[in-house]
Amino acid sequence: MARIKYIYNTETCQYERVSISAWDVALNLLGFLTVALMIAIGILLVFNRYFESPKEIVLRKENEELKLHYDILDREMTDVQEMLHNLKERDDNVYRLIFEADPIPSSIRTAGAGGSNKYKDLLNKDLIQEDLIIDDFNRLDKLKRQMYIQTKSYDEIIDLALHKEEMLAAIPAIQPINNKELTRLASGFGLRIHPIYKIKKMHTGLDFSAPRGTPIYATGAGKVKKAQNSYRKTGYGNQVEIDHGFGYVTKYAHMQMITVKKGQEVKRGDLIGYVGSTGGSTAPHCHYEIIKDGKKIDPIQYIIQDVTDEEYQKLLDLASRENQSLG
Amino acid sequence: MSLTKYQYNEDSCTYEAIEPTLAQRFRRGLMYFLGATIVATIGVLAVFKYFPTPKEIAYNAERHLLNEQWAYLSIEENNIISALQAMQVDDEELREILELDSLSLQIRNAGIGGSEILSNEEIKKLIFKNQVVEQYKKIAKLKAQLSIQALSFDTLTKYAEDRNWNWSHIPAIQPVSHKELHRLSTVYGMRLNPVLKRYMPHRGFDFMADRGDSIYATADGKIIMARMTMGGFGNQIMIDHGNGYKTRYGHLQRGNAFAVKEGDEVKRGQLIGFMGSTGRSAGPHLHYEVIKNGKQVNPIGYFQVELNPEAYEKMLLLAKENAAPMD
Repeated sequence: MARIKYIYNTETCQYERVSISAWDVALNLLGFLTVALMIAIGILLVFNRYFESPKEIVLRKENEELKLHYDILDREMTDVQEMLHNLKERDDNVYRLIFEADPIPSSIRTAGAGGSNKYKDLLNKDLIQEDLIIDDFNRLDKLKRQMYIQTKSYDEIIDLALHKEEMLAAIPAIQPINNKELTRLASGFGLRIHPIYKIKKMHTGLDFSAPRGTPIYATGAGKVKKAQNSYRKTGYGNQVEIDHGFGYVTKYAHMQMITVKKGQEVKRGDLIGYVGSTGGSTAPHCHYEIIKDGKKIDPIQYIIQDVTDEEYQKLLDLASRENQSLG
Repeated sequence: MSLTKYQYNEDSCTYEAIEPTLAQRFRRGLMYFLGATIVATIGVLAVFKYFPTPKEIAYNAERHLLNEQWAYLSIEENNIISALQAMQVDDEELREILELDSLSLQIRNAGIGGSEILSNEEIKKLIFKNQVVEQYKKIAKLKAQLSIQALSFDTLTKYAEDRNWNWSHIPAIQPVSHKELHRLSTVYGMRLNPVLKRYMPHRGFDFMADRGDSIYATADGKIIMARMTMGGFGNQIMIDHGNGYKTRYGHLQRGNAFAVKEGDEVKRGQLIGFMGSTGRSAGPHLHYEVIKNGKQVNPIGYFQVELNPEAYEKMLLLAKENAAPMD
């Protein structure tokens, strides 16, 4: 309003000009903005409810796609899990048909040589002195292993001290076949189900299953006492016996082919023949026995070199399962 | 503005009150709101150019969740792949033991096509084409590999079952207990018949023990004969093992000879009858025959290890003594 405005002052009975102070301007502006704000809120509410911005449309469509396909894939994944479960049952079933025993739980199977750290979950617990604790456990393991080896008699220990080096080279100390993965030990020493009779009978050695032609090695230095071929479908088949002295004889049976002769001197690790399935055997394997002073003993205690403590523990577990021997 | 305002009319030199008409007031109000609205709109647009709308915030939160779910799909897949690989290793080992060829890589990777779940048109319309298609491909691959592994296990199962069936249905043990056996005649072929006093073929083994001693089935099968016969075998049992093999047990005792009847299914080691001397026989013994595809064969090839190799050797020593046959 360009024109000057006046108000009538009833006290002075005069017309006075209307002065607009800054305060008035500010108040008016504030009022205006408040109204604008309320309108803005109104616009926002209406828009939010009934309209979508382009960006919102894009986001919504993307999410819908992701959700749709995720749901489909999730269902597929459930199917796959089901298939895996069935597969596991079939796997176990074949194992049972062959060994007449439940398969190795996968915790032992997959914890392979040097693979998973046995004390991994201790590490994950964020213990403060975890290094010390794990050290202790490892030392305990070593001690336990050593205790097993202390089944020697006092005389033997004297003997050992006197003929230390000779004895160390001669006494059986390795596995007769290459078993780095530790998966080949199929059946241990003790009462096992006979594959043909289906009754428990004493299995006097270890069975190492391996394909025909796998090399077999002497497990200690000695002299070949027997190297015999047999065409019968029963018994030990083609077999080798090695006399190591100190009362120890090792026997290797069901061989495909023998590569040593009676009377031959061998060292630990020398090739003596190849894995087969001759004699009373239901699958190619090396049947390995240790005869001490005429008595058959558990060879598992004589696997000392080339295995870590973890690997040895795994071998012990494998050997102690009461399953079916291979022959 | 409650106070009346006045204008100074220069023409009439008086102060005139300003009284805006309703129309004028309305127009003023409208302009005010219009102004406020414009300001509001500009304000809203400006603000949401830089800040996310409520819907956007919601969609973003949803997206975050969806991304995590998709990431989890990958983790699940990796777990499944590990489990599948473990089973493929099992498959290899079991094949080794069963002496079957291992599955070639070609076979393992067969049947891995593209993602058949989505059609090409659907794929073209996808926003996250690569991500979605890749996941479908991965799942399809997993399913294919699992199917192949399942087929392989089925093959192994059938093979192991057949193998077990074959072993349990081939004569493999002595029909008379080692403990009760007095003498054993393993003369197979022409010999002097003690009753008829002339040379005739003897097509079985004679197990000599006491009258009434137990006789056992030497393999799983079905009893096809368990009665008195007139041909010289007296009370005899015949078992059909279903694989071309039959076994015959002759000269069972006079009264109460049979522990089974015709049609019975028996298992290896099951008691089937009692030793006697019926028919053409010079004394209590069991005449035992192994018949393959209708023709008698030498039973010597059908004895697996009884208790241990030494016992078997002993049995052969007994056989070497060459007791004269009793029929």
